[in-house]
Amino acid sequence: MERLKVKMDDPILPPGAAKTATVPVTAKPAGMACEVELFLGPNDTTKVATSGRKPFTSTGALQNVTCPVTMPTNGGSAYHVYIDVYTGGYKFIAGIATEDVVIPGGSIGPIDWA
Amino acid sequence: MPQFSPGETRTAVAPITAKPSGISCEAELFLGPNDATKVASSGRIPFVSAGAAKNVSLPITMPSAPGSYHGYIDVLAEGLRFLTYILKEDVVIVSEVVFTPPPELTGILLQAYLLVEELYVAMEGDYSNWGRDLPQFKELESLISYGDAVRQISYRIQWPSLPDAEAVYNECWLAWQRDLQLYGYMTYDTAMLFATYMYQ
Repeated sequence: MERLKVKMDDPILPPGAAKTATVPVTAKPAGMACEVELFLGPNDTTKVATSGRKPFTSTGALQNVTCPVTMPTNGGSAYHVYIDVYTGGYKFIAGIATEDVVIPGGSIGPIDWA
Repeated sequence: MPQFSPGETRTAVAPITAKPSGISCEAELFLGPNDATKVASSGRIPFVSAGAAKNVSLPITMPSAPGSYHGYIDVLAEGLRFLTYILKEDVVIVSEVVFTPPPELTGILLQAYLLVEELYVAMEGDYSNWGRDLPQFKELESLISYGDAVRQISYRIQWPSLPDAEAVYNECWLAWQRDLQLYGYMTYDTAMLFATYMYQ
């Protein structure tokens, strides 16, 4: 299944931060029991952080679904953001954010005075 | 401990490893009593992370007030502070006081002071007998009594451990003035200037 591009802003987040992504989802037909999962990782088979599957009922129109995720605690990496939508255990929508989430990290060494 | 003059502009070169590479970052060096009080700052200096150590130059104008300041470096990306660092050594701002003996500081007091300074240097850190075997002590003893000479060099030895010029004045100079029966010989301001000079 080809992943759809999903626009995303504000991609730099602190390590370990608990954030909630608001994901606009259009699932049809209306009235289906669905689940959405947002996860971060280097690829769509490696989940470094995930919201878990969050249930919602489709409205047949655009609706916002919230996905709380705790960011990875190790700084210094960028992660792709994936969104999967399921119904009856079947994944029928797959998305990838247009920007990676960046968890900055690093170190500062001893300084010299010039 | 790095020492600078008031208002002097210096550049700190900080090796910063910011990851991942390619993100727009800013680094700020600031001095202050704590990390919430910026007495002097480089401002935010932009750079792009390399994913590995990269030298970032942080120019800063030193505070005008003498004293010891902690140094802090913050690194931010899109306003998010993600690296913090405190300099291992405080920055010391040393006042460049040029001491000219004031008119009222003449005669025995100035001669005694200069001799005590000479004696202190000549002792080379050996304070076991207050320098009594050195010629400067004999000369000092000819100006003031033996007991006073011992007291003065004792005061001089303890100056470096006193916290500030006010303490030098209170602990040493008031006592010296009493010993030499010169209390009131010089003004408080003159004594503070003298104490500040000596404390350096």
